[in-house]
Amino acid sequence: MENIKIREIVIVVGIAVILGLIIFFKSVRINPPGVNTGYAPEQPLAFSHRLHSGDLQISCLYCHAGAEKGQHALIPAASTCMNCHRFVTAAWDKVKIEEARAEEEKRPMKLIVSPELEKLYRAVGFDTDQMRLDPRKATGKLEWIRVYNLPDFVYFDHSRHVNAGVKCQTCHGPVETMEKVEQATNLTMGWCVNCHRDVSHEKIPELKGKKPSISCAVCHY
Amino acid sequence: MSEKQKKRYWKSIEERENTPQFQAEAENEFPEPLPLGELLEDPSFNEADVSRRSFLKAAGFSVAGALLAACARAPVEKAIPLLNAPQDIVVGKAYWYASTCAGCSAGCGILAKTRDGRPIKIEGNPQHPLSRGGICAVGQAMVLSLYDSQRLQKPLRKGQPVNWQELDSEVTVRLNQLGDDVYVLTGTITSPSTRAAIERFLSRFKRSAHVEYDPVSYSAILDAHEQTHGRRVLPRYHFDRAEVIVSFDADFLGTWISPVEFTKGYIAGRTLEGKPPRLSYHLQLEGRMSLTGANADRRIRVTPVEGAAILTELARQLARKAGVTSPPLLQARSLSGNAAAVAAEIAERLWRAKGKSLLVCGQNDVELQRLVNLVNHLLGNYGKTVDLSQPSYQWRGNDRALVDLLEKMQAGQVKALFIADANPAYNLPNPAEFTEALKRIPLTVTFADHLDETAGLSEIVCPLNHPLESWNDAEIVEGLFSLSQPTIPLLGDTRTLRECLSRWLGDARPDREILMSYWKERIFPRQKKEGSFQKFWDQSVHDGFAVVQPNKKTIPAFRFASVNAPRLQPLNSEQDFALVLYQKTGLLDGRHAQNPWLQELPDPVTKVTWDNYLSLSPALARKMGVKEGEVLEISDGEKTVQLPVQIQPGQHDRVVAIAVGYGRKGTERFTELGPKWIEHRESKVQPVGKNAYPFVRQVETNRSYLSKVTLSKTGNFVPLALTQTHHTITVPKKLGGEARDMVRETTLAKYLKDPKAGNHYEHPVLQLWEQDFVYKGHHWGLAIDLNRCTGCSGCVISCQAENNVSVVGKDEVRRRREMHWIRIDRYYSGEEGDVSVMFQPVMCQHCDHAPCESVCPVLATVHSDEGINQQIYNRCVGTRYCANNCPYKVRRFNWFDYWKRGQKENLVLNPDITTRSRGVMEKCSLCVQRIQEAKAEAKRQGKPLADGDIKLACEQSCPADAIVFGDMNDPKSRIAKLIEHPRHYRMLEEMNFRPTVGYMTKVRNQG
Repeated sequence: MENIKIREIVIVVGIAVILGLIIFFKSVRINPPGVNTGYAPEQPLAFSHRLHSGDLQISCLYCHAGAEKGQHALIPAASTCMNCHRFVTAAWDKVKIEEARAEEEKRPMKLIVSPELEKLYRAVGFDTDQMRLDPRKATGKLEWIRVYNLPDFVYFDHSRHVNAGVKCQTCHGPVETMEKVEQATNLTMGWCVNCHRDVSHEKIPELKGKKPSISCAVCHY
Repeated sequence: MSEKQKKRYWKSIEERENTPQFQAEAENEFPEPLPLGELLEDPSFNEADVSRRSFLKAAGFSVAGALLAACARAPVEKAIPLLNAPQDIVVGKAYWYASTCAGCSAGCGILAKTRDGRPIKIEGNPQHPLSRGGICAVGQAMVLSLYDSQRLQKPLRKGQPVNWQELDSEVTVRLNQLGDDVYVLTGTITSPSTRAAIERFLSRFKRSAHVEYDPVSYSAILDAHEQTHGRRVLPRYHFDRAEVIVSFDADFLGTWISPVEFTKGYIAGRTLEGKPPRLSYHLQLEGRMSLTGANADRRIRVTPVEGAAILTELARQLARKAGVTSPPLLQARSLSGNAAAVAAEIAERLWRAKGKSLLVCGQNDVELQRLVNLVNHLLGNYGKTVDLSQPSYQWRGNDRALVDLLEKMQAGQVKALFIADANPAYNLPNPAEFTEALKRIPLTVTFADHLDETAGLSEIVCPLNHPLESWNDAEIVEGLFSLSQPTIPLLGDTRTLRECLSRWLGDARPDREILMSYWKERIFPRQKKEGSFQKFWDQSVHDGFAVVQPNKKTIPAFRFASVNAPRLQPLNSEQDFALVLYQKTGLLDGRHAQNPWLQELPDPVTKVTWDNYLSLSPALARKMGVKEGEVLEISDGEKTVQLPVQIQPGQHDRVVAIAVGYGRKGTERFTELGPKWIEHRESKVQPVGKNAYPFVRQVETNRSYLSKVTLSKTGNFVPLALTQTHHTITVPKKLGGEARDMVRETTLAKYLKDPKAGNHYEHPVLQLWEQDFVYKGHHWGLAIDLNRCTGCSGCVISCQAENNVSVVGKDEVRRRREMHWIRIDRYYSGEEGDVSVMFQPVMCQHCDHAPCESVCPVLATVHSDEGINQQIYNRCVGTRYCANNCPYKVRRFNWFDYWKRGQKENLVLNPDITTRSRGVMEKCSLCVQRIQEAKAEAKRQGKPLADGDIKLACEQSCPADAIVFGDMNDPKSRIAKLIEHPRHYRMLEEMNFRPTVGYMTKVRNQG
């Protein structure tokens, strides 16, 4: 009798543990080794794709200009940011508030510089008092953290995909909705190859007629 | 010889004699079993008493640990963009810049491929009028020396680093104090702007001179032309125009004067494509086996003295034919016997090809060179195959001037000496004498890239730019100016010679401006094509060269009186041997000793890496009872050197040969190359090889690279790291042992009757697969013309640079672990004395029925739908089954991690190619990265791929254009035509591997 009791207790506890683990994994998401889906590291500068790409509708290729020209999509050079941000120093609403306040207090408007853009200005040496670039003051680099990182034994060329008509979102997910960029796809070989196969079998209408190879040496050399 | 009577080819004496050791080695792909026995015998291994229980515990923990580790995120990788993006530069794209090779002073045109601001590959510039797209192994390897971590970074004074300002002021002040007697000693300087800077610098002083010398000197050719034609220049040789080529000891395909240019010309004269086919007759007289001799139609083994006698007799006979009776010649003693018959035969051949023949001689002996000039004059070759009106400026060394300078130094008449691009403390016959004399000079300044033998002795050392970092120019032949441009910002605090000298004159312009102003004043007015200088300059920088109006000079009449019969000093006793000093195609005169690619490049003929050695003929080795690797002491009476023996078929029995360029200071670091652990290592750190320059003799005004030596045994043994027996395709006896026709050749006469001559091999082909795969798109293929291949090994280094092939070190080469994706098989045939040589580049044959693919348990090697045998490194687990099953022995296994992180040299790596790690198999990929890139580019431009758009690394650099790559499914491609050609065959066709790499039969003139 006692034996049966112990067995029942073991079974119940076991089931509870398994259920608990399933719930735990569902909420945490666990990846197989080498897969980093959902990776969203803190970046040195809180750049919002939601704002730039979503609300402001800036084309992906404006900043990631390499994507249609070469293998690397490229994180834009700071000089690209400065094309706009030499004029735009803070969010619109903040500027509006200052404008209203200045009018109220009958004084000239103060320059509002957002703390995030301050980081950019320090890097490129932009003097906000004079609104002028002073390269001597540049502190140097902005060290972004790579989100999408393929292993070194894979050769990937952005331009071949972009020029074939693959949308950025196909691999990078809805970046235009992301405040902080997160790895949307798992980047495993199976994921790559399945897409290549689907395109060959004309399962993806917008890429009809393309015949991407699934030979190993297309990516591995 | 009927087709059925097969010629036997062999790669080594062991193979020829079929020794048991050779049999054993041929059977196994990997020569050594895994060292399990050693491991088990190791007491520390047995002491570790592991019970079953503790083993299971450990195993459990490691599985748990591995699982936990797998949960961790991949290491954080940073992406650091530029602050200011340069326009028109796409990161990750390759850009090409035209420049000039500075590997030797031949001045071939190059294109430097840069990725993200650093050069990673050098290729030949197809537009360059001299090298026409070819580039040798040395030129290819120059890109590695750019990133040499041992290069000098800062100026030194008395061994201590100083900055340039201090140095500039000190030198200027001291020069003012010294006053006169200032000399500049350099190697050949081809740059006209640098010559002008030196001239300007020296014009400030009374009693000053610029002395040029070449470690391996061509001075006698220049001196002889001064005496016979009144112009001290090197003529330009046109091998393409010659129908009969006779070379006495000149290795013009390997190292002599301008090997790439000469190979291009030589091969142009030996193309079978034309109608009727051209095949110049090439006869080589030599004692050692040179690369050029290996390619000759007929090779006659002579000692240097016998050769000189034949040359004299040849001149006499030709003078008789031409009706010239000039007095000094008649004094020559008539030869008798065999030598006279040989001379008569050569004379007859040359005479029949008057004006279309060429005699060249590689000895630095002015008497012989005058004879050569006489012969070429009698044959009417001047103005045709030998051009003096538009001469070559590739080598300008003057032996007499060097002797004069040394005398002045010893007499204390030199107050300041500036040494640039030269290493006299290493490569002069008597370095001690030079070192002593150097001490008597108040101010010595050396311009060098390394702290070499000479730089170590001088008070002030100025670091030089690497040629890929600097602006430069070169006047190679009259009227042809080649330009160099920087491809990377300076890696150190370095300068050029021109900039230094100009600064010390108070001219502080940047180097580029000095160069530009020279071009504006002196070169621009000599052309009429471009109206504005800026346009002319831009075009020249873009092209890498400029062709201008040559300064033509009339050549005075030939001075017969200057030619006399050379005095011959035959070998007297049986114990005396004629020593021939020569350069290897990789290291040349020793200037590239710091380059591990070139150190590990197997010599084209001997196939030895990482060493110099004493080459003996097999008969002599038998007579002396020495084996390969046995150390002999070589003595010329005053100096001795101990070197291991290499047995060289085809060498004259009384001639021994040693390569110069070894024993360099700084090469000690290569002792450390290769895995340090497990393996037994030599405890003594020493330079690579031994210095053979002390055997150079000063004979009157010229330095002679011939000597008389005696040999004695030392009883020591140094195994050579030679690759000739590695990866042999010979069938072991237990598997039948039949001879197979890897290389095929025929004679011109037979070829003209039957284009398929030498290529008739019928054999049943068994079909294993019922249905073959049909290649619908591209089907890549490669054809290698054995008739063009000279074996120069340029492709080996080209492949190494393109594909990140690692250097393994001497120790590993000895264990048959060299990693080169292309090897050049060198086959001998015939008697071991008079051998005939064939070269065959072998890389992965990309078999459509690949035996390696069917044995891989993890599908790491599979076929692509374009016919490429792919090797997937990340899939490979290193079973090595594929290498064992490869009939061509072209697979290379990474026994260790040969790449090390954090080395400056890693900047040379091609970022598109994976660097392979330990335990991974690798092999030729048909440069799949180039195929992919060309396809992407064609798609981007919306054009179909054209034949020739894709050039493999080996194909691009080949000076002989022996390699052709293309799409076999495109009927209009060159490769499709070659495959249909009767000369085309595939290696081991009868085995039905269906290789996509094919070869073309070699055709020789009847010997």
